[in-house]
Amino acid sequence: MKKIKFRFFLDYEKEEAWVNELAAQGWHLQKNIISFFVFEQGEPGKYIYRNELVEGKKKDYYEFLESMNIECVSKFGVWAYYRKEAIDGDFELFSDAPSKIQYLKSITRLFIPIALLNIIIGIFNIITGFTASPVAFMSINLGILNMVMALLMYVPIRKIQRRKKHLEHDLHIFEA
Amino acid sequence: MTKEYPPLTEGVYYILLALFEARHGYGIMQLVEEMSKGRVRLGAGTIYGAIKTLLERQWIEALEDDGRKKEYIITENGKKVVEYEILRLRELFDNGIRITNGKA
Repeated sequence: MKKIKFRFFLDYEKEEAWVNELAAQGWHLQKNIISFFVFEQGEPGKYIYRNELVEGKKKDYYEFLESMNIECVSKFGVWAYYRKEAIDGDFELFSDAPSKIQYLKSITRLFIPIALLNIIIGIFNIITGFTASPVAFMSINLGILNMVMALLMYVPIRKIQRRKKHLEHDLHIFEA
Repeated sequence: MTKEYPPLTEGVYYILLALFEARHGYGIMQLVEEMSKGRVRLGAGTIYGAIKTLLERQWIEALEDDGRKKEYIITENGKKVVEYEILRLRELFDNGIRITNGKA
């Protein structure tokens, strides 16, 4: 049996936790396209799921994961979902602070420019909207949409920065 | 030891040790977990990132690709780094034992 769920998350870690909650109930993720999730029913708790921003990752990375018994179940845009059988024990992609920090940095490197671009284009659209242009109404709406996008991206960016800061702080006393 | 290296992370130290014999990613993970009695469980992304950096530094090298599972082995440079790290760890260990009178 399959089911499709629609759910919007601002925090990719919360999304991952939700996918794992469903896996524990026997609903295993098969496909994820932005906010649409396809689950297939199976043995409860069989898999542990992890998501990752995979911008710039090449084929050899997926082959490497595969050789570690990690199955890539879904890849859409810059996000991928993996699973590993829970019987193998705990499953984390990154096990120490330096590699976790590196990963968080790769996310903000992508998110921050996009958010800034939305602000700039948003301002431009709103200014255009206030001129006597024939498309003024549309420009203002677009501009507002840009601003909303930037605001929506600000939430995860702030969370990631906080996580990163926390990890970096620990590195002052701990090696990893 | 002619050249000084900054301390290695636990993960990198164990990965280098594991590669004194040719191993692929999964082999590294298993051996490290075994050596540390389950304490150090390296993530696949962490191992992948470490391998890439270690290859760039030429501390390890990839063996001829025999299909899917690529194997890696430590180089002479890599061995020197490990030897240096062992000396550093010995210094830490010896000083610790001396000052605490080995009570730990």
